[in-house]
Amino acid sequence: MDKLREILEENWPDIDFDEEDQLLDSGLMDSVSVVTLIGLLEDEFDISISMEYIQPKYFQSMDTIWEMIEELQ
Amino acid sequence: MTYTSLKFMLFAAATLLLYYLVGRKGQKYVLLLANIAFFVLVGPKFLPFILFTILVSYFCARGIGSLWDKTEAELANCTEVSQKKEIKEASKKKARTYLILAFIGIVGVLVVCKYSNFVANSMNSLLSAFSAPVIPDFKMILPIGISFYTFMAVSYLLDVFWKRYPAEKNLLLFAVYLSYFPHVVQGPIDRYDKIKPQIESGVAFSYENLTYGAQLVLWGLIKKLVLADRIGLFVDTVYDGWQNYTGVIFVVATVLYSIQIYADFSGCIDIVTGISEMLGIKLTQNFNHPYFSKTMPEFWRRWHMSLMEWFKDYIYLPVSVSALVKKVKKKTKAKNRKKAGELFATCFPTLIVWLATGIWHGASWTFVAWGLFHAILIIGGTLLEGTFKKMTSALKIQTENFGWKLFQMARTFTLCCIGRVFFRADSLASAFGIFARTFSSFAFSNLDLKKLSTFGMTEIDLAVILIGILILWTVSMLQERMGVRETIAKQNIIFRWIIYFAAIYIILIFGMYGPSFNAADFIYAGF
Repeated sequence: MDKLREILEENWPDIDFDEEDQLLDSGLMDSVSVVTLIGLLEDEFDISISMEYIQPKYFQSMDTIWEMIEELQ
Repeated sequence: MTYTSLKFMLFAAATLLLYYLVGRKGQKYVLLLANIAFFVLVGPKFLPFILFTILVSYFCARGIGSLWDKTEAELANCTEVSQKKEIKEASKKKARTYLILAFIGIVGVLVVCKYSNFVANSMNSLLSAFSAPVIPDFKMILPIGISFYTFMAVSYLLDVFWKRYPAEKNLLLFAVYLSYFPHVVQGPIDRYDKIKPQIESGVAFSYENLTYGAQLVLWGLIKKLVLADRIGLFVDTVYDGWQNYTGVIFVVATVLYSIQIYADFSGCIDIVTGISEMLGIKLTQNFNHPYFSKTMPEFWRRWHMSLMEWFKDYIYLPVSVSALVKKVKKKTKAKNRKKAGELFATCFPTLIVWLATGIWHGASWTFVAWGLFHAILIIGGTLLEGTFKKMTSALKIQTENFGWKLFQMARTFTLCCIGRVFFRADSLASAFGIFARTFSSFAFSNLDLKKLSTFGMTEIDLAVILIGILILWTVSMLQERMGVRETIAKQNIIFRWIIYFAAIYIILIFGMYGPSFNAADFIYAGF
């Protein structure tokens, strides 16, 4: 989780990931951010994120992103 | 039967009456009957095409859904990780076969009906250069709404394949969704999981739904019949006889065409959204005042939103995370050229999306050029974003100033208008000819208002257009700030009915219904 936090805060410094639980719905992150994040997560956690996981529910908060990583690992 | 015709209005009124008379449980059956009746009235020859798409999508999705259910059951009884992986992969392979079969069927029909002549003509241009025998023209019919309902079917199949929701077991509900008469001809491209619960549960009669919906229908009719069709007189004259004009006339015609296509398409969407709202079914928002956009990406988040969302979800994201993009990124990283890989990952999916968007709009090289033009603008904007920020900072531009925002809106509108030349011209040669003639003799004197009749217009038409644009702009401004319909609803009954009657009279008096006119077809119905 710490590594995920580091990736998120380094690339999107203006977002408070501890508070935000509507990253996509609030417009803080868009499809371009999601694609960038997927690339970073795949490199860092050695996972392959397929289209099944590219859904808003997995990218709304740091917790949901982490749940997805755990599922894929 | 177009959405602006009296026949359609009578059809919608009869549907509404029956819909609320049968009660909530029977409403889905009324909708199915209404959808079939709509196709019969529009053209019975189109019915087999949509029936084919419904059946192929439904049964292939059922096949995929059954596989997923079976896989879940097998996985629950399995403890070994490697075995689980094998089960998942085998099941995915079978599901993919269903998906490919469905795509060959439904996308195949779209491609054959819409693009075979385009491919044949393009091939013929090549073949004639080598004096080879040419391919004869195919006599294809373009089934009404095929571009829209095929995209809805594709979204449903992919959503089931990606396990976003289960496959529908009730054929009736799926058939009602795909053939739903308000969205089948010109969209919005609604998603199944948004529409299904509304069809399934039915709705109780609501006076609010009825009046809000009726207001939207009236506003849509005004946009289409009073403004778009009237502007069309000028635009059609200039674009169809472009060899006769030069300079500023093209600027005026293109600006007017941008307003015409907005009034036409958003007017249609207002009509169908209003009818659907009267039926208690909320359609996806398709427009959000796009001409107030400050950048091109923002414009495309506010124009034909359901199509752009579709391209984002089913083309942009899958291509961005595709094996090809991953492979290029990996290879370039290994060769210490990470930036090149990132550049490819940024440009390639955007280019594919815009080429697809262009081709979706029509089987013509003008639409390919229009798509490429937007790809260049969007990719250029993304790559140069940092440079632009530095420039505005160096020039000490106050980016929060109203003046700067106005400049950004004007810039976006201008770029949009340049693209519209490709969109409206009947060939690439005409488009480039129009660009050349715009700058070859650019004199404001070319635009002589005394010669309005040569453009098929009268002074009254010009006045109606100018007042219409002003009203459109004012209403759009108000809609940005408040709920116009909610505000009208709060007024007393006399004031409300004055507004309704005024709207009806405007449509009857200024709508393009004179003896020499018929309401023109909606521009997007042709796609």
